This record gives sequence, C-alpha cells and structure tokens, in this order.
Amino acid sequence: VAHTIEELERTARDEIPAAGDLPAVEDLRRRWLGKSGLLQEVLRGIGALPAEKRGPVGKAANELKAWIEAELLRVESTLRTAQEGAIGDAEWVDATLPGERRGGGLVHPVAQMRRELEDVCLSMGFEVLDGPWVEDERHNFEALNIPKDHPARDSQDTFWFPDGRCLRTHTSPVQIRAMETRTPPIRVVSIGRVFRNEALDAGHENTFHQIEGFLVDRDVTVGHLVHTLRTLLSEAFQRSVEVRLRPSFFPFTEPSFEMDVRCLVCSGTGCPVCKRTGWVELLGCGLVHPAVLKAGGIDPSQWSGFAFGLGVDRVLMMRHRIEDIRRLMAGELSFLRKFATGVEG
Amino acid sequence: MRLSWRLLSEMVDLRRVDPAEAARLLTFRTAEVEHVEHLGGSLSGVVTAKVRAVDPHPGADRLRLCTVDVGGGAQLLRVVCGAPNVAAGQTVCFAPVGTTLPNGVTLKKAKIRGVESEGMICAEDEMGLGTAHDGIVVLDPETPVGVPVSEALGLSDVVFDVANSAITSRPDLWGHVGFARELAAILDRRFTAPPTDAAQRAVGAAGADPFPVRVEDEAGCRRYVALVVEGVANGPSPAGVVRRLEALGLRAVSLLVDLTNLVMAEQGQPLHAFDLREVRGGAVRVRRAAAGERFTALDEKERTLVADDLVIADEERVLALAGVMGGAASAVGADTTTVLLESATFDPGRVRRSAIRHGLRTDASARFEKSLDPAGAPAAAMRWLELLLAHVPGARVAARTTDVYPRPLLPLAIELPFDLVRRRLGLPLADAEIVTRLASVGFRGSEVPGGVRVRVPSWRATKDVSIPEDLVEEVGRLHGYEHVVPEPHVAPMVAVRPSPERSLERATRAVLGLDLAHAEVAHYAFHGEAEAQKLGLDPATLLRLSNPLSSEQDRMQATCVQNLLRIAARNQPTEPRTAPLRLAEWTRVFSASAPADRAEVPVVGCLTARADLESDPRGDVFRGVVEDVRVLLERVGVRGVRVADGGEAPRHDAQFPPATWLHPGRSAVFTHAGDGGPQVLAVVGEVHPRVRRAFGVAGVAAAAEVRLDRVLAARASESDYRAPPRFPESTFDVAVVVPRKTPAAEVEAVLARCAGGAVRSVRWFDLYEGKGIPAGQKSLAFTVAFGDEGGTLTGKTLEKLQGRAIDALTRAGWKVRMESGAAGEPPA
Repeated sequence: VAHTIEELERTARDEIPAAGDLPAVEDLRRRWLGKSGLLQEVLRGIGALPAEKRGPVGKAANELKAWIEAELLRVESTLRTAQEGAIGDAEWVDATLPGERRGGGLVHPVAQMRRELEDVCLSMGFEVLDGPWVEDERHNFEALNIPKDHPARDSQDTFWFPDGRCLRTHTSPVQIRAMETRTPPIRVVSIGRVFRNEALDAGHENTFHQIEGFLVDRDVTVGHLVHTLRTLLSEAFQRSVEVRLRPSFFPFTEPSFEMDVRCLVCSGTGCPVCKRTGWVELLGCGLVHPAVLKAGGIDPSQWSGFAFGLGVDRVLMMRHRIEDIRRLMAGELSFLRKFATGVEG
Repeated sequence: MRLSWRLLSEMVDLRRVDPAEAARLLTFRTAEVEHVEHLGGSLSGVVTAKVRAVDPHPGADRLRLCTVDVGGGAQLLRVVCGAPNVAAGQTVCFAPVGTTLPNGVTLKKAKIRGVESEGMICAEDEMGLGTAHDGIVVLDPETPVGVPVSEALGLSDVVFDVANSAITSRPDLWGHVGFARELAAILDRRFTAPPTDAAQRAVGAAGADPFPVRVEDEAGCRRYVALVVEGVANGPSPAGVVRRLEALGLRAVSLLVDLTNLVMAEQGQPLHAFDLREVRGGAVRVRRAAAGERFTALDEKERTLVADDLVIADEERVLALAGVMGGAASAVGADTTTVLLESATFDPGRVRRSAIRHGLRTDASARFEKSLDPAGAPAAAMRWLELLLAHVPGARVAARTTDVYPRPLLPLAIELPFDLVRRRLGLPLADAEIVTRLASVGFRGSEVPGGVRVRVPSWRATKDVSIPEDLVEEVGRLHGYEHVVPEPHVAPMVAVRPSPERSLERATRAVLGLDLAHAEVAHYAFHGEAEAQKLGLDPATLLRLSNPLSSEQDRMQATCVQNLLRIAARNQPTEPRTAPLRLAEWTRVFSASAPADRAEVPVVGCLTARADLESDPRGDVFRGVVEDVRVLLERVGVRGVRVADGGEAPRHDAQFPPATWLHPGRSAVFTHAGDGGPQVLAVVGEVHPRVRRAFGVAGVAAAAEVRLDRVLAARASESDYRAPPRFPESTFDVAVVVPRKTPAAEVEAVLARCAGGAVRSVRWFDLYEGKGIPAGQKSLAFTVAFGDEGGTLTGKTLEKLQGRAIDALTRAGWKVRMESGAAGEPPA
C-alpha cells in the first residue's frame, strides 16, 4: 500500500498543478477527495493491513490528503485570479449608452410656484382655498361690485356659457365664497386657474393662474396691505423687494392701487425689462369695497379689509426670465424639465 | 386717452412745469400716464424770419436773391429762393445752413447758379407739414421773428397717453378739463374753465323758441341740450384745428365735425351735429327703437335695431343711434348751412349695450358708458358755439337753447369722519389737511363734529364718488401713497393648513410625479369638435362656450385623456424612444348634462406611452398603469378598493368622465364602497388603437383618469395598522386552470372566502398559458396564507384548510393543477 501511496502522490503532484480551468479543479476535487475518490479508497483499505503498517500508511495518507486539499485551493485561487483579471475585456460594457431610467418625474413649474406661494401664505396665517372654474355671474362679477353693463367688464374679457355662467376671470370670487362660510376675522388666499377671452401672444394667455389674497379684520389699513405684500413678494422673489403704490381703479376695492416692485433685473438703475423706469408693475390691490363686504354678509361699519391679486405665471416668468407665457401651457417636456427641481408635490 | 399739454395749458398755468414731472405726478396722484410723446421736434432749427429785401438773381430769371433777418440783431443772411410768392416784408419759415429737415436732408452752404445761399425759405412739404409746394409758407406778419417755427405754429406739443383702464371710474377724466382740474390741485395752481363769453352773448340774443325735442324715453336720456345755428359754412378746418386734432389722435373731417370732436376731447362730452335740412317734421324725438327698425350709420352700414337701442329720430326715420354714432343721412356735409347741435346725457348701460351689440365702440360711446355729468351737456354746447363763432363769423344762433332735463340730479353730499381717513390709510393726517385735500379737487363743505360734510362736485357725482371710502381715496392719493408706512397686521394665532382638496392634490403629485416618475403637464381645458371626434365623444354632449376664441377651443373638456394624448404625440419625436413617456395632469373636467354644482370635477390623469413597442401581447403597459393607480390610491390612504375588468363597454356611473378611449379588452375600473353604494374612483385602460392613431401617438399607450373628489371622500384618515398576529401563518401554493377571460380577482375572491377567518391573505404569483394547458384556458397560481389567533396551526388543521381551498376551487368549476404546502414555514 505504501508503494501505492507513493504512486498516488506522484500522480497527484502531476495532475493537480496541471489543472487548466475551474471545472477541471472541481473534477480533480471529486476524483481525489470525493466519497468514492482515490484517497477514500486508500483509507478504506487501511483496516485490512497488518497492524504495524496501519500507522505509517494512515499517516502518509492523511498527509497526502492535506497536501491535495491545499494544492487544489492554491490552483483554484490562481485560476480564479487569472479569470477575474480577464473580465475587464470579456464583460466590457459601453458606459455611454443610456441605461434603464427610473425616476424622471417632474412637477410643473406653475404647480411648484403655486405650492411655494401657498406655503408662504400659510406661514403668514392665511388659509388656502380654491373655488370652481365655472362661476356664476354673481360670484364672478356682481358680488364684486361689477354690475352688468359696467365698463370694468371690458378689462376682463370673459368666456360665457349659454346659461349665463362663465369661466372665472379672476380668483376673486373665492373672496365671496370665503365670506359666505366664515365670520371675520378672515385671512384667506386662493390660487388657481383663471380664464380670459383674449388672443394669445407672448404676454397674454387665455388660461393663466392667479393668487388672490383677502383679509378682513377691524381697522385694516393700507399700511397693513403694503407690509403683507412686501413680505409675500420678498418670499416669492427670494430677496428683499421694494414696493410702491399708484392709484388705480378696481370696482371691488376702494381705494385701489397698482403695486410696482423695484426692477429685479437692474435693481432700479433702468434696463429693458423695466423699460428703463426702474420699476415693474406687478399687481392690483386695495381696501375691500364696502359693497363687497356687504355682498359677503359682513357689516362694513364694523369690519374692513384688504385684497390683492397677483399673477402666479408672472412671478414665475420674472423669476426665471421666461420670455413667452404660452410656453407654460404648451406641454413641451424639454421646457418643463428646465424647472424639474421641485422636490415637493 | 391722449392729452395735449397745450390744451391743458389753456386751463391751468403750466409755466415752469416739466411735462415729465407732471406726467409722474399724474401717475402717482391720479391715473397712469403710460407714455409721453414730444411732437414737433422734427422741425428743430427752422425759425421764423423776416424777408427784408427781394432782388433778382443775377444768373437765373426764376430765382430771387432774398435778404433774410432772423432777428436778435444777427447778421442779415443772403438766401436764394425760387418761390413765386416770396416778397419783401413777409414773415417766413427759414432753415439756416446746418438744419436737418424732416426728409433727412441737412442743408449745406451751396452756390446756386453762382450765388451762395445761406439757407432755405421753406414750403409746407419741406417742413413735413403738408403737401403744398407751390410756394413758401407765409406766416402772420405779427409772428415774432427768430423763434422756432414749431413753437410759432403751435406745432410743438407734449402728448400724454393715459391708461384708459385707470380712468374707467372717472367720467370727468375723459376730457382735458378733468385733468386740468387734477393738475391744478396737484400743483396748487388755479383752474380756469375755457371761455364761453361769445357763445353766452349769442345765445342770450336769440329770441326764437327753442327747437322742439321730445324725450320719450327718460330712462335712456337724462338730459338733452340742443342748439340751432344758421349761416354756417362747412369746409376743411384751419391748420391749427387739424394739428390739434392730430395731436389728440383724431382725424380731421370738416370744420363742423372737427369742432365737435375738439370739444369732446376738451370737455369729455360727446356732441353730434345734424344738418337741420335732414331733420323732417321740425322736431326730434329721443325714443326706443322699434324692433327691426333699420338704420344706416355714418360708416354706411345698415343695421337692424332692437327695442333696447335708444335712437334720435325725426317724424320719419332714425337720425342717430344715441351716444354711439350718427346717421349717414342727417350728417353735416359741405353744403350744410344750418346745424342742429346735440349735447346730451344718455344712459350708460343702454349706450354700452348698443355699442357692443352693433360692434360700434366709438369715442362717444366709451364716454357715455362711464356715466357722464349732466351739467357737462350745456357747457360743452356753449364751448362748441364759442369755437364755431370764432371760426365762422357769419354763424347766428337761431333759437334759444333747448334743454330737456326733466329730473335734475340732486346734489350729493357725503359726511366723512376724519378718523375714517386715518384708520383706513394708516396715516396721522390732520383734520385741516383732509379738508384742504378734498377742497383742492372740488369737494367743499362744512365741518361737522369729528368730520366734514362735503358736496360732491357734479362731475364726480354720477358714479365715481358716493361713499365716505371714495373720499378716503381722494385724500390718500392727493396726499401721496408714498407716505404710507408698512405695518404688520397683528391677529390672533390660528393654525392654518391647505384645504383637504389642496392637500390631496399635493399628496397625489408627490406619488405620481416624484415616486411614479410622471412628468406633470398643464394644458388648456377646452378643445373643439375635431378633438371630440378623435376621442369618439359625441361633440353635442360637451359643455359649450357661447363666445369661444375659435372653433378649435369651443368646448370644455369632458376628460383629461385627450390632453395627455396630444402632449404625448407632441413630445414623442424628441423624447428618447427607449424610455416610457409618462405624463400626468391635474385638471378639471366638465359635463353639460350634470347639475351645475356637479358639472365640474377635479381629476388627475396619467398616461404611459411606449414608442418602442410594436405591440404589447401581455398588456404590460396597461397593467403598469393599473399598478400606478393602485399605488396612488394606496399611498393617499384609500383602502378597500375593488379593481374589476372594465368589460367591453365599461359601464361605470354616468357621473364619471366618459371613457370612450378605452381598448375593449384592456380596461379596469377602480371602485370604492361609498356611503351611497360603490363609487368609481378611477378608470384605467390601454388607449384604443383607433384613438391612439387619431392623436398620432406611436407604439402602445395606456392611461388612467382618477376623480379626485371621490378619492378625497374615500380617503381614510387613520392608518390600518394592527399588531402582528401572535401565531405564525402557514402558506400553501395552488395553481388552478380557468377559462382565459376569468379574472384572477374572481379566483382570488373564491380562495379568500374558502375557510372563513382562517385565510389571512391570497397573493397571485403566476400566469401560465401554453403547453399542458387546454386552448382557451389559463393557469393561475396563488399563495394562500392561513393562520389562527388561537394558536399555531397543526399539520392536521392545515391539511383540512388546504382541502377546503381545493374544494372551493373545484366547486367553482375549475381544475386544480398543482398544490404544495410549505407547512409551518412562515414566508420569508
């Protein structure tokens, strides 16, 4: 048997280092170390040997087994290293090809702007409401002190339905709805889509968005209005803004104002954006007309308030210097993706 | 509206006032001046000069050699002139060397036939003042010498363009008089009304009875003033009148008409001149039109009138559409000798409606619809007469003034508490300051305890000013809003949140947009008939606009799917083909048949389009959108949603947006058990290939429409968290062969019911068709989890439960294909 073990050892020393690949290593492992492998055969034969030979043969067999195990691991490791060294070539992938894309959702810039303005208003204690797009004449006009045949209707070209309803021309009807369901003090804003029956161009849309703010309390002053708007606009434009008032006319406010902001592009030194005036006309506002309070069931001798209306699209356009309002509703993903920074719904 | 600085200067002293500063002050005190334009500037350099001598030109018979004096002791200049009418002693327009004329030519010192000329004596065309070139312009000999011609001729002017929207509420500001009053108040100068002395004398001298005017519709006509003037001669207006009209943006017609327009611009009161010969029956009536009555206005178009129209008529016919436009037949012409002048106050609403109805928005109608001051009617008539007498010396007033004013407006007085001004403006104004500010614009009166009671001047009393708040505005604007001190509004602390609707919109946006990777788009809510047909909708069922912008946008959308398809088609060519295009829109859809309070429904729609797929045998795109909606509803807290096959003709409730775009074999309906029975929350489907092609969308597309109002109602406010079961569950896999169109949900339901409360969950995991399964059949595999709150299931109980599951499937008529229990092992 000793002779046989020596033979086996010679064979093993020839065969194992010569293994050419990992499957060959596995074959050799089975052949030498398996349940019916060569070494097992030797070990099984030991019992039949004379007692004095059992010890040396057993020892030799175990040494050979240990050697084979170590050698197989060594060869396997060498082969594996060689193979892994080649995956750079064998498994090369073109990294410049686009992969399977996940994500890529985006929130429309107007929705982002709306969300942002809502959050600012909420933080200032204003409730955020919305109302119907299809309005009745009372809420859109009459309760806002714009009776039939009033010339102020000219500035609000209206889409009408045959039954006398219309698409809301402003978010102001929400003021009336808010008064119908609340008692003063009231602080609400409404933001949403509004519609004007006008021809489209770079500065005019038939569908755009407005934020309407409305506050009713005791002794509300023009000073409160200016402070509130300055705060809101500073947040909207993410910088401290300077504002000024000019007299204006809206049927639902008395007195009424146009509010200008110091040009955000040139800071007032004069540029094409502000037509070299240093100021940009931004929004209409005023103290709520007593007739509007009355229409909302509020006693104007006890309560007063302010209201303002601001174009959401306009703020957005000013902030990003978007040149054409029609792009917002055009549904071009390449455009919308430029504003895909929204992380909130 | 355009304002002439010159015209304003006649009523208020504007010397040493910079027009730019005046424009700024008006903008901040009265109404926005949008634009300031300087007229006559193109004639700079041309001055008035005296021709001292005219001598023959030594080298040319037709040329003269003139000696010209530009005044101021300057050296006399020698000028060659070819005009036949040049003569010594004339005052002329002289362009010295170096002047650039309006045609762009700069005069140089040049020799003309051997004689040097030091400038040019100008003809009308050379100064851009007209077309005449038959001689030089000869000025009034009294014209001062050496002043710019633009000034001497009254050519230089500054014109303010005022924003019409800023004066909608101020009838008095539709004429120069109103702005002159404002400037006087702002600059603290005196306002002087334009003179009417000659007119008053002429009218006072007239003896004949007033021309008869019958106002039969007193609601339509508050006041009617008429003058009859004989001996007029009509013709082109003199250059001064023409230039003034042009500065105001008005077109010269003839003297009689031009003077009415000039007075309208000055006074804000429209006038109309009739040729009295064309007024039959010796009287005019102000009456309602007879329905169907025909009328040809000055624009030569014949119109059919309605009873709401107010007309000026004689005994036979309509002479004018009151306040809007005169008639062609009774208009003054070149041969008019006797004029009937109308200066009236018509009802603003009637004029506005007529103007809109007949498409005639005129300068006159724009003013009448602002509610004019009846006191302005006689004043304007007198101004017109004053100007007429100045231009037509032979004109004679033929009768005393007609003035029909049956119910004069009562003077309006308002009591203003001083404190109201301070409380509204937030400014510490002194009582005296308030009184002074009000008086500066004509609100005068007497103090009462704590306030002042003022009379509203007639020109502010028709609509503009009626309540104390109106006076607060007067004080505020004249004091200057720049003095307002911003002050934080202080209010009790209250917790505010977005409304539930807004919260839901935010939540759905976060899921669909950011989690499920849809690009949010926003698009118009209207479309036209063609679009409806592409969708397979009956266009007649859509809510229609009465006055659409175009026939492509004349109906309100009934579903949001067409917008998603349209936008998908628009973007597919430029988006990568390898990635699915996912779009979503939050919008509202409209129904023509639903009651008004339910005619408008908030929805969110989403769409997945795969341009890279030719076909989709397993319906993966559709099933992906089903999953999107499932996730969306789960994530916003809607539980107990049932998903059913939409069927060949989806019959969800009539209140749901019409889903005519669905693939007949690939649609799903999401319902929720509401209080009033199951409600459809969402409809999902592959877009029918016909609809998809009609919209030009390539590949395969599937969409969903979700009713947000119903989602809101179905939304659970609390989590359904429960502590995990105390004893482990055991699972069991079973595959069953069913007909191809049997929904998995049906099999799932059978399994869920098979063993009462012992079934904890049923989860589908495999669909197999093909080898080993008969044609028209399919194999579905499920994992069923059993559990017991009383203890761990024993092998025996489990075996019994599995047996009940198999029995249930068999009883349903299906063949169980294989089963395997992983007894006792809770799933990983």
